[in-house]
Amino acid sequence: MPFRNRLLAVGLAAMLAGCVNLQAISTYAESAAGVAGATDAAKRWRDSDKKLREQRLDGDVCPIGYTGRLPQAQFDAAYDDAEKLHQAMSAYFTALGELASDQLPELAKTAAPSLEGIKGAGAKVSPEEEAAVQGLFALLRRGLDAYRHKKLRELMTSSHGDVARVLGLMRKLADVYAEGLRGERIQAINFVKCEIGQSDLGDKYLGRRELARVGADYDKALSAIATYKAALQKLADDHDRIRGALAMDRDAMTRTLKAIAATAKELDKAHDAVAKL
Amino acid sequence: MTDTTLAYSADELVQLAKALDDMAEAMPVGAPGPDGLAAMQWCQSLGGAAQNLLLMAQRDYLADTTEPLADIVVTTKEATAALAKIKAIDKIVEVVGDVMLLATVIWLQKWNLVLPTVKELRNDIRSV
Repeated sequence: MPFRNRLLAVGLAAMLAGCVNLQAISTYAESAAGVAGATDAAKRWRDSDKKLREQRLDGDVCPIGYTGRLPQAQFDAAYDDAEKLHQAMSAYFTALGELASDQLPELAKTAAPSLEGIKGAGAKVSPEEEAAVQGLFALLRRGLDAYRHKKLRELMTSSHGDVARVLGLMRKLADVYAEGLRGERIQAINFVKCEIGQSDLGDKYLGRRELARVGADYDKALSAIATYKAALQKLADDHDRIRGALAMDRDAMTRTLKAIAATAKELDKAHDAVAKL
Repeated sequence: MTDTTLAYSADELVQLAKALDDMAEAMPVGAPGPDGLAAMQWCQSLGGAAQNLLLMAQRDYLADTTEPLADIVVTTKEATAALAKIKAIDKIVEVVGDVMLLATVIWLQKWNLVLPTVKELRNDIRSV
């Protein structure tokens, strides 16, 4: 083979390898955007009172539902703030994926999230966390077309701290949602127990079946939230791995990114599980 | 912990909500007759209080305050453990009533009422 052809073959192989590698990031980022943007757990927490009351039984004698719970509007507002965080993270991963696929990424359309609502409620917001949210957004708005795939590593390096912080924040929120659901499970189960206590013997058998059914339903939902929380951790880890891989030689990068493509499937599963809440 | 500027972290609010939910779970709601119904009503109030603390935690998840609610969490956990030993519903109502009041003053941020309420709760647990 003439030298020129050999050079061409090597060059072509390198180009193909380059495409495949970055395509892995692109595939991964799509899954990452999906799971980071998922607000299903937050929504389920917001709607807890309504969902609990749906557990009512025909002819029941026991009361059901939280008493003394703050007005629903406050839970709605809290959800709206959480949603903005999710949108920002999702937009970030989408942009990453578009960069990797060598398309011109769209500018983030979402408005910068405001933590004013949270602060207005008298709560303290740490300046680092607020800066992380704002920083992430500033990065997205800076005009992502400047960050074509050659700049991918720079982007990931500069955003890494903020991404990790916001994902950490989202994991903390997942704990809040999980406890909310566990509390709701306790209410629903105790309601059935109360009904059994008030009923005659004939109803008790049916009551126990109802008890098992309600418990199993909630266990499934709690497990989905746990899977979702684990996926957020994976997301933070993978962000670091991809960033590291972009600094490696081509073979090492290919191996690392292949492994990352496999975890994208796990993220999809977590997203599907939480979407069924 | 001082009278007027009690500080807390969002993590501790979640812990406290857990303790309230655990207490709700421990209520003898299966008791026949009015005792069971009364227990269920307290269970609902504890559940509502836990939800409010979670809302506060959610809003406050970024709180960087240092003074923990650890004392209150520990006391609430002690109260839950004590519940298992109590048979009479009226004694349960006394302790649960204290816990409810405690949760309420926390979400209303009436810090000056927290210490007296904790003290009252401790007394009630001791008398069980």
